[in-house]
Amino acid sequence: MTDLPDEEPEPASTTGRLIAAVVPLLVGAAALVNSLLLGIGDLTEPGAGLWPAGASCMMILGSVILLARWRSIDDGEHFGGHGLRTIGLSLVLAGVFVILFGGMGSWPGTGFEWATVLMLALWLRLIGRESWLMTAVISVGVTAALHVLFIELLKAPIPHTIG
Amino acid sequence: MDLFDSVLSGFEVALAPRNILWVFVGALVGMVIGVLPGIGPVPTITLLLPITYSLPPDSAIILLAGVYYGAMYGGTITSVLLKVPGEAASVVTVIDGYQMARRGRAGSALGIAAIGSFIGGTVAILGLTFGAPVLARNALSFGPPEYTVLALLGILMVATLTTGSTLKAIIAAGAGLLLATVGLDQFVGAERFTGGILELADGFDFVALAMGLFGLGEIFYALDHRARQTFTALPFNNVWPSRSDIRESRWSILRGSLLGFGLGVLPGGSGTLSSMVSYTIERKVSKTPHRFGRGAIEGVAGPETANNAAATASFIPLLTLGIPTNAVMAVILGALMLQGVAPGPNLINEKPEVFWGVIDSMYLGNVLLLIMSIPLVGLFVKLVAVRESILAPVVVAVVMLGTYTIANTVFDMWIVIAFGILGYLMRKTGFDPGPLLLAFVLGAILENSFRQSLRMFSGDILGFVERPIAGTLVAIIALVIAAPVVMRLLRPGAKTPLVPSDPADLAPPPPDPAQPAPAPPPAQSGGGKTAPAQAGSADPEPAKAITEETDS
Repeated sequence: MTDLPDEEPEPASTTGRLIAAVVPLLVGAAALVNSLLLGIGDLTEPGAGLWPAGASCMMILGSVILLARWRSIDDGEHFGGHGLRTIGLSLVLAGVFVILFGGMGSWPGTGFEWATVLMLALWLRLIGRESWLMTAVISVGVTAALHVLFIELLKAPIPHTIG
Repeated sequence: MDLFDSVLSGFEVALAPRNILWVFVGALVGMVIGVLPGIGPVPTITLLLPITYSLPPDSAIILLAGVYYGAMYGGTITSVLLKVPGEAASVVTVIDGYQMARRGRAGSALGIAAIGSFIGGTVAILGLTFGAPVLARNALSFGPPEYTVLALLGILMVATLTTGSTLKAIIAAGAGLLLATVGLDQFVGAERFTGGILELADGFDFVALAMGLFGLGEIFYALDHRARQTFTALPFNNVWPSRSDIRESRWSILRGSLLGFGLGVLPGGSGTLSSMVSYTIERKVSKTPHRFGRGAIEGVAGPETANNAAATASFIPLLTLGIPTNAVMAVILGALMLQGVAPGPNLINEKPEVFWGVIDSMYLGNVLLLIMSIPLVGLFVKLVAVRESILAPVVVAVVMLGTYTIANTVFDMWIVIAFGILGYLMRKTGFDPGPLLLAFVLGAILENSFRQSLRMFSGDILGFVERPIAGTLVAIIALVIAAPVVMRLLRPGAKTPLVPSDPADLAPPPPDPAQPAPAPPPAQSGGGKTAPAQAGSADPEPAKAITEETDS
């Protein structure tokens, strides 16, 4: 097993903090435009957009104040290259799991057993850097346990190939 | 039926063999996840939803409640023996608990924490037993305007009392309210923010959102902070506090019980907040404050009592008003909804078996936890050896399968991934996902009652202040908003700490270089969980995590 680096979170850069304030502002503004398009009606007969417009304003107002003070706000963490690569890989594995589980287009997928065993094995090996033996034991063991729990005990209507 | 009969009938439900089993399972699962630093009560309770689906409502909520207060017990063990808070509410226990363990008093620390937790929990249950029916009776006269203002106040208080930035919590709450509007508008039948996606016509599934934000989001965040954890638990003797330990901490336990109960009832007053405030109070009232940070038993007894009392007390607003006050209660509200039970002032009359059964099961749960926590400490400590790298993919698989079983749709699994990314980004950028989840849950209640109120008042918004209860609540909202602004004007540049902002105030003495010194991670509100600790990192900075910015 390789030792993985310890990453003490560095504080977010000024650009990072700026982005953290600008993104909610843009989301709030886009939601406000959409709310207005839905029609806000009036206070007697509120339209579908009145309430979302209020929530958007809450986001916009908060973001504007955040933006005005972005230099003095010291929370948030720096996005490190190693962390992002690991998360990217885990996202790919989660995506592969869902595609194998539920299929894509006309392909019905493999059901949950293959999806689970493959996702667990790849994750344990590539992200967890576990030994082959550990990888095999855990991925097969956990899949079997989940099969018993969801299919045999809970009788959940999960697409499956075994049993 | 008077109170006595009601409580008695609750015990009939709580002591039914199947419910004794569920209390035990809930408390045990809670303790386990409280010990494991990789998983907190919110994703665990969400994960258990598919299982509770097949149970009667009383058993379902008894199980989930057990997980919540069980987690409060479990978090203590690793705080004391390993300096790793298992969950956010035990972050402050690390300070004196670990120092006690280093001085060979681990048994006293764990014992007093278990006894304090038991007393705090029991005081809160007594408060729940006597206080909840009174509140429910008064809440019967609540109409849409009262619910609108109450839900708004709830969201505002959560944002104000959050352990992070208030401003960011308000933005997150705004996002939660917006997400709640996705789907078909019930009043005029218009589709809102669905982007033409058919699956979104009914809006986002609550479970998918909670699983993503708190389940996957937490795993992504942990991957970012990975550290090969090699913790060595400090040895501990028998887990019984001595007579002098009890004498030293009896007032701390009493104060912790009352404080935890008071804060737990308030929206936003989570176990995390109450434990931090309790620590500050204990140090303030102590005649020998210099002992704090060096193994003062009051620094363990007070906070541990308070977090259990708060966890139990937070059921009051949920069961009597239908208003969740933190992220865990939001998930339990979701569980009640899945069961077709609408919590609120009518619950006590319409479903007394759920109301009293859940409350009475807590007495049993606390006794079970006290019994379990003492002999099983050694076993729980071994659990920390489960590496996060192994736990993470297992949790991902369970989260995905669990989400699928709620609505049998693969679409929700993609939603989980999307909200997992959002949850991770929020944590990284200092936004607490708790207020988002809470606002999402309260969003529909809030919008419906707001629009009904406007119809009642024929569009006159002043109608809200003309009703006595709603008007009073509006005044409280104004006060909550105005107070920090006024304080800021009076003391320019000052922070309003809920607990001392000076790190030196809370920081323990210099670490022993021989011992690993993982830093307590940033605390999150609402029964959130902690991030994995960093092995070999610098001195903890709890004060940073628990200082409320008035930016805000």
